[in-house]
Amino acid sequence: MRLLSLQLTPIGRVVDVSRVSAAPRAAVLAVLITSGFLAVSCSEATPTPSPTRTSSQGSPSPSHHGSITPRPVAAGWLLQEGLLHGNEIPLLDDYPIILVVTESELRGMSACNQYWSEMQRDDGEIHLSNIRATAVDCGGAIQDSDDAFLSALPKIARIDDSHPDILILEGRELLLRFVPSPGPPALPTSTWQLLRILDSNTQVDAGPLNAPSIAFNSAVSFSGWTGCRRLVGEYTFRGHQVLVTRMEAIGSCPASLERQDSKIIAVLGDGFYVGLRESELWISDSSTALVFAELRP
Amino acid sequence: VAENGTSGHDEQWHKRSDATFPNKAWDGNPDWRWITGKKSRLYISVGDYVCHWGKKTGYGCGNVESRDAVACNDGSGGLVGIEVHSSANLDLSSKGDSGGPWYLGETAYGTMSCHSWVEPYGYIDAIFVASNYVESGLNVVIKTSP
Repeated sequence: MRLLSLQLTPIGRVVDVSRVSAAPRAAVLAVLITSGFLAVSCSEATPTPSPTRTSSQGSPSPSHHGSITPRPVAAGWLLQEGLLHGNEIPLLDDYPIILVVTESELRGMSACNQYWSEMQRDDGEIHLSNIRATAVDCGGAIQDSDDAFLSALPKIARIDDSHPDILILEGRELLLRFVPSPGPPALPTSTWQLLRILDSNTQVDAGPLNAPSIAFNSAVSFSGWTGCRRLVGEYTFRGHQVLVTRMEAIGSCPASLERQDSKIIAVLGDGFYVGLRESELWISDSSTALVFAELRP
Repeated sequence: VAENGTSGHDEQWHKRSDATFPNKAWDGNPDWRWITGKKSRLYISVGDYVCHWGKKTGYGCGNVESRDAVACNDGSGGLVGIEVHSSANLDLSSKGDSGGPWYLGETAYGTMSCHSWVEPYGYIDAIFVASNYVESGLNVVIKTSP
């Protein structure tokens, strides 16, 4: 059911497709038939009173990343505390909620989804419109944090950014307190060899075959090996999350390595977190972790 | 895996080399439908009735609210997203629906990208990427025949 991931996968990065495959390019829609879910048919029902439209026209272990030395670059604001209707917005160290404010936009990264909104500002009063978010199914505590913040977002009505070390967003029964984000971590530049693949902390198969590896070659590029395909790509940060903005997977895989190849690319391709645990490098998304050891010359 | 998240785009393609897929799309209504045509953004109009299937929300339909919605991507947006609203304020997009098909009858319209907030109902409106953007962004062709 590998293709089921088309339905589950967050999208929003760039990959050069020119060298991805020499195989026949199948229909995008056709692959959806592999999904086996029941669904309820619906049709347009009796209209209810018109809504107020804000859209315009026009769980892995929380400890396996976050220990990398922060880069001294501010990347926006980090949610330190949030209260909505008297309830705390749950915050996770490894899935920070990041805010970026521009003159006309308020956007950022919730616990696992990107969000955007247009902003009209009159001194401290703000009006958000065209509020949009990606629709990644985060699961568990990450989902709870993500849902809580994205639900609070449309209720923001005031901003206080007069202090350099704190930013307050308020609304009816809403208080969000942000502090400057420490910025993205610096990724280790040595080469790392894959030791094991964990799905929800359970090891997949007996172990990686054919020595998969990854190397972050600079502040923006990486290279790797899935065991059968060579990877070359570029990345950026969204908060502490690493987003691959371009990736080429070069070569082809025998059937025996396709699953491993798919696992590695799925983690790298959908936004991941990097952390050091003792001497191991952990690269993980919300469900899978790739655990590496440093290759020493 | 191939992706394109540049301005105006938000689509992803997964392939496997050990299978060939026919021109079908899942709709859960009750199962799948043939896809024999496709409609590009140019020919999608405000008010058009269109339906989809998503892993979370299942099968649902609505009307095109805008064909110039801000797309959701890492680029500078691009006013080419197709926004769909249900007059019954049904939830047309929940977390996990990304990538699902939009169609009417046997005509492919596009694939799900993200959702937008409608007060007081929540993130119920869907924004999808039109079929021609899916094709051009990924350099693929949506099959309309076996």
